[in-house]
Amino acid sequence: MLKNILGFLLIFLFSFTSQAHEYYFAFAEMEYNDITQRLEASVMVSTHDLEFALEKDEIFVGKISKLDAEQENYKNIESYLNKHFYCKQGNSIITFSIIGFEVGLNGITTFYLNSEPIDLNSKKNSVVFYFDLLTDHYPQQQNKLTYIFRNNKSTLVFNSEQPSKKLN
Amino acid sequence: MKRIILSSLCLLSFYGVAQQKFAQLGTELPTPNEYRNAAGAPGHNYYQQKADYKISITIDDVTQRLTGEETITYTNNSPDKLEYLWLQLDQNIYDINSDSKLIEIEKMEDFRNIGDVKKKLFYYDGGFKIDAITTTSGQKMSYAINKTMMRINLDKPLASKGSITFKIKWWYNINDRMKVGGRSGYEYFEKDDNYLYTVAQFFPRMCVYNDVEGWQNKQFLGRGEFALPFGDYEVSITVPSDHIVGATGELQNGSVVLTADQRKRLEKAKMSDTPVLIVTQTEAEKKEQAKEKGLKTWVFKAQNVRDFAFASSRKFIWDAQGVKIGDKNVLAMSYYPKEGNPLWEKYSTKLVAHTIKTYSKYTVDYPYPVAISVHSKWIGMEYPMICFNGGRPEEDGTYSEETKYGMWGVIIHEVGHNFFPMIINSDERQWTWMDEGLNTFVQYLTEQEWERGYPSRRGPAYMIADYMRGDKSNISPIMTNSESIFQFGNNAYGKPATALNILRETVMGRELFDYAFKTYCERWKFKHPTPADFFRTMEDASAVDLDWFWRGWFYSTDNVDISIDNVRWFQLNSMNPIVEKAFKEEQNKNKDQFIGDTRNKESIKETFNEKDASIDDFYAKRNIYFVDALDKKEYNDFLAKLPAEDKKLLESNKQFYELTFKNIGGLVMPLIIEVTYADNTKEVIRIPAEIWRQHEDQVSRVLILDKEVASFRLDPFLETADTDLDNNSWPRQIQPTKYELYKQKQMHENPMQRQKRVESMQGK
Repeated sequence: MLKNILGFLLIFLFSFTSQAHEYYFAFAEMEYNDITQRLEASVMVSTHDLEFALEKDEIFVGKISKLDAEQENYKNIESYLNKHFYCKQGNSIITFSIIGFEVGLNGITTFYLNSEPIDLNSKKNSVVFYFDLLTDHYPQQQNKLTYIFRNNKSTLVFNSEQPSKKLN
Repeated sequence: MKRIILSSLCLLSFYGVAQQKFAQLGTELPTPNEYRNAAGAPGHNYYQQKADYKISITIDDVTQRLTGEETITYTNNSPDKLEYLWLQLDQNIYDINSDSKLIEIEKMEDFRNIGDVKKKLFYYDGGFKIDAITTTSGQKMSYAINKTMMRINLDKPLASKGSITFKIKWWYNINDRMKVGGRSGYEYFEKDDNYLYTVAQFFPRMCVYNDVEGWQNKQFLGRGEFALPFGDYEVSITVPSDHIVGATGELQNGSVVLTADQRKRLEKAKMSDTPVLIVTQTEAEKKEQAKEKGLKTWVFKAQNVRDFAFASSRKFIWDAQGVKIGDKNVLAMSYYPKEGNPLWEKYSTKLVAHTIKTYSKYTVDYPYPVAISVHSKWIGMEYPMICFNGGRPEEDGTYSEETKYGMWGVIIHEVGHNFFPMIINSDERQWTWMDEGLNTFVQYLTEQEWERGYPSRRGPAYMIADYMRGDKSNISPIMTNSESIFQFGNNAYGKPATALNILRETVMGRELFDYAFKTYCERWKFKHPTPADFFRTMEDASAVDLDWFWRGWFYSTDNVDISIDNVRWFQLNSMNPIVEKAFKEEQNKNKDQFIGDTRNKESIKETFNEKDASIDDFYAKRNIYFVDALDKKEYNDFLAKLPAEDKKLLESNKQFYELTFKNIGGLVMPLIIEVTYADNTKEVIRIPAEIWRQHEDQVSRVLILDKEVASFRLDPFLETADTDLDNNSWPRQIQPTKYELYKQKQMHENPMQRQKRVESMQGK
């Protein structure tokens, strides 16, 4: 049996059990825009869940509501989202840029994203979706993506066991 | 396109037959009996046990150890004799060998930093240490501990209507809540070297014995909370002499533990409808530094409660106000360290008062003398008369709007738990939704009465749609045991709260729902209801058959997705040849032209019959749209025979629309149809869910309207949790995605950037 070496960063954070905290869900909507040839998406996630996960992963962005597009933190959030919410077409990874975000007073943050131009017209079935946002922090986390391609909708469910899905 | 129909219509049913969704709940519900009747009320022989406690405990502020001694008097009101008693040892969840530690699914990815490893290997000597269990005369009693449950073996069975009194001595190390988590424990404040204790599940507690479960001794694994019998408590709490203690029940020895000033302020608070400070921040800060060495014992009494909890700290600021509930004056109070300010002083007690007042309106009058909110970082946890709530501002005293709403929401929710399950005492170990779901529903009502447009997180139907759509393999029906639920929050809090909202707003209407819901609460206050009691009462008090609703929303994972699949438009044939022939002529004129015909008009200069007039006979020459004398006579004869009512109907210009609806998601729901007429006026038509009773996949309905329709829209007020709004319109109208809506708003800056622009404009 191959022995793996466990390496980690020296941070001392303790997680907590919070009885009022019962969310663990992210919802995304993604549509292919035939005109711009970009994937346009929104990702809704519990603000507190995300802040806690970022802190635990040593991505210190502080309060999401205080994010400023001019700051480095903004890029950090974008690259974090791109690690946990992206697509693959063949061997090419399709990542997203944040075009904006809204922090709701009900504790939900919505990020608005779009991709670089890609041609999905003839290759719809070859896209694989990855959406494991927060599943590595919260075992109960489930994510749902509603994908819209020319008015056809499909909903895909992701969790820690199934971080990616291919649309057939 | 408009079609003409004849006066006599023959409607044929063309759908298949299937009636699963409207099948009555038969085998799913227990058979009514003498303990719980078919109306959903307690039966004529309903009983419940009673457990009275006299408890003395001491908290050692140096070692964070709690030692206690209790005398329990247990009364067996059941018709059964009991060979043994079961008690709950909830602290054993922190035992090193606890099942709850072993059943968490883990992967190596969970250990990504040394903090994760430290947490995993963190050793804390938790769990109850039972020193002795004895009779009142001091004789040892035999007992057996099975993890979080303890059986006391009785020398002779406890007879029906009999009671037994026994004593237990124990101690345990209080958990550091910030390190190991938990519903209770302590928080250490390093800056001033002080502790804040929020203490619960701190004594061996009697299990429920009833007609449903026998002994409810299902192990405590951490999620399914508690099932507890009612009883009376007298609790003496010994803590450092400068501590302030807030607890379930009424303080019995204020003259001993409070200063004269504090007593005076407390009396003033009772008569005040705004919070009065009993311990100020300045006074609390002084005590933080002084740290007295002595001890004081606070004594509390509580009647007819299912549990007891308390909070203790020298850091506590304390405020209170009176709240009138019926003919009673309840004392709403808050205890918080300075770290909770400015939020806590401004809002906590007012929220407590508002919550018990609003819940009393929808459920039962708040029956207890006090209602307390204690500030406890991060968590929200409920006990009778007292709850521990998060919502901490930044260290610099500022707070975000999200923190404020988070604090408001958690206080309303946890204070609301006084009603579910503290008063309406359901079995949390079995059914989380019965307290969390019902409580979240009334929480929503309370939030909306606190502030217009309050951004509630759960309650409105459209908010649950994302959770309910898609693959169902990772979600559970609401009727699932607490420990086995996927997606606890959405399943046990969000979905039942939404379901009740839909019942109230859409299926039953507010008047019928509110009466039935209140009836359930009145019937089961200070008793132990089950899901069937709730389902039955809601039907019994309203005369609304809701079996289909419980079946769909509580027993299945189906979602709502109803589409308008087809619309056909008809008008009555007026029989008037002037009208009808003109209409046909117009139709003919407007029909699509074959391209060859169009081109032939140009290319063929003259046809043969145009050249030779002898070719055209009667048929070629007649105008089929011409209204001749015979047409007129026949019409007049027809009118002469027609009764006046029918004549009026024929002339009414009624528009007939046959709408076909498809049930894609599986959940049947009422059809709420918004009709937009050609003149841009609107009308809403509501069709009960029973339209699906015989054909649950597809139904049609003919709407007879006075005006021509421009469009139809299903669920225009987002009240059914429909998961796909794109198929809700005719003509089809694709709803914009969230991305598109955002783009439409043309927001290129976040609120802070906007504020910067405002400030720069003002030259700041």
